[in-house]
Amino acid sequence: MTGPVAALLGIRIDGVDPSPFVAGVYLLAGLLFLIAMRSPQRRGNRLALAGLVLACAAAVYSHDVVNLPEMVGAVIIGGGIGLLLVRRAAQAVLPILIGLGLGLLGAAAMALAAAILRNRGPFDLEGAAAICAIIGGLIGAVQLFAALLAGWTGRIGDGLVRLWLIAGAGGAGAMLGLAIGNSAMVMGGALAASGSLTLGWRVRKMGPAASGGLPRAPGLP
Amino acid sequence: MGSAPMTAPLALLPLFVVACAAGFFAARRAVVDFLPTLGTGMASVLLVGALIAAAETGSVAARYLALLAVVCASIAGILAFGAGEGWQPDQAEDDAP
Repeated sequence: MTGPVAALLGIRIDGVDPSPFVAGVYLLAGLLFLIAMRSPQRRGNRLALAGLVLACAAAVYSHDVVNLPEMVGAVIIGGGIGLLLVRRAAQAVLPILIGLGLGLLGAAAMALAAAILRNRGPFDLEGAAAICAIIGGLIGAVQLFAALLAGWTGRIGDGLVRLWLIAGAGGAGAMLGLAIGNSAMVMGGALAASGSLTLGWRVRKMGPAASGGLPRAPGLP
Repeated sequence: MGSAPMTAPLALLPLFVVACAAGFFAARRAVVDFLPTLGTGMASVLLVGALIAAAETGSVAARYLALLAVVCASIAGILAFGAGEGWQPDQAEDDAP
């Protein structure tokens, strides 16, 4: 693949690894997320999961991984905890758990920003890239604080609050993607941030009748 | 890429703008039930970043910070995916007499 399209994919789409194959996989993952947003819920959910697997596979494939067992172990531990929570929690507290899961994404963004700021060498983290990383970490901190505050005030189950939290996670992901030069993070983060902001704006504009489909739990502590 | 400090963010800026526009137009007619889909997508975005950071990190502190990000993003991703699939919590023990 040395044609102009491959060159465009390799140079413009993926900032870290100029391989057109990896860039194409990232692009496919982004397209899957875009289709998932226009699909019915369960189908869209599975398409999003397929995009997740593709993007993670491309991320691992495109880098010289020296600590693969630790990374796989972390994914298994995190997935196991999430599975345990979602299967064992009572139905009434499930919206709260999902909202707090969005808060955990803020914690993940903070940890990621701290990790790349402590190790700037591989990412050429200077100038605008460092500023993007700091902004991403700050957005993650605000998101974590907002999720904890919403949990404290009992509004974490509100669908509109979760839309704002998703927008925050998207913004943090896009900023961190700009910092490390990863196209999948930029595409997915910007797509979800603008999509959830637009949807939240629609819901607020149309009033309570429009938010009927959003999962709510107003009476929860 | 990457010779100048501004290269990576500037090169990806058009992609950022196009993705923002695509998200705006996708959500204009979207149903409001795609919250779990967005949650799964967000978890995958941060999981990819955390995996890359964990793969690249040299110092021990940075590596463990990246692994912490991997754990947090995995928990959030499974929570969002499970909610979207309509997984019912296992009530067998609670309902047992």
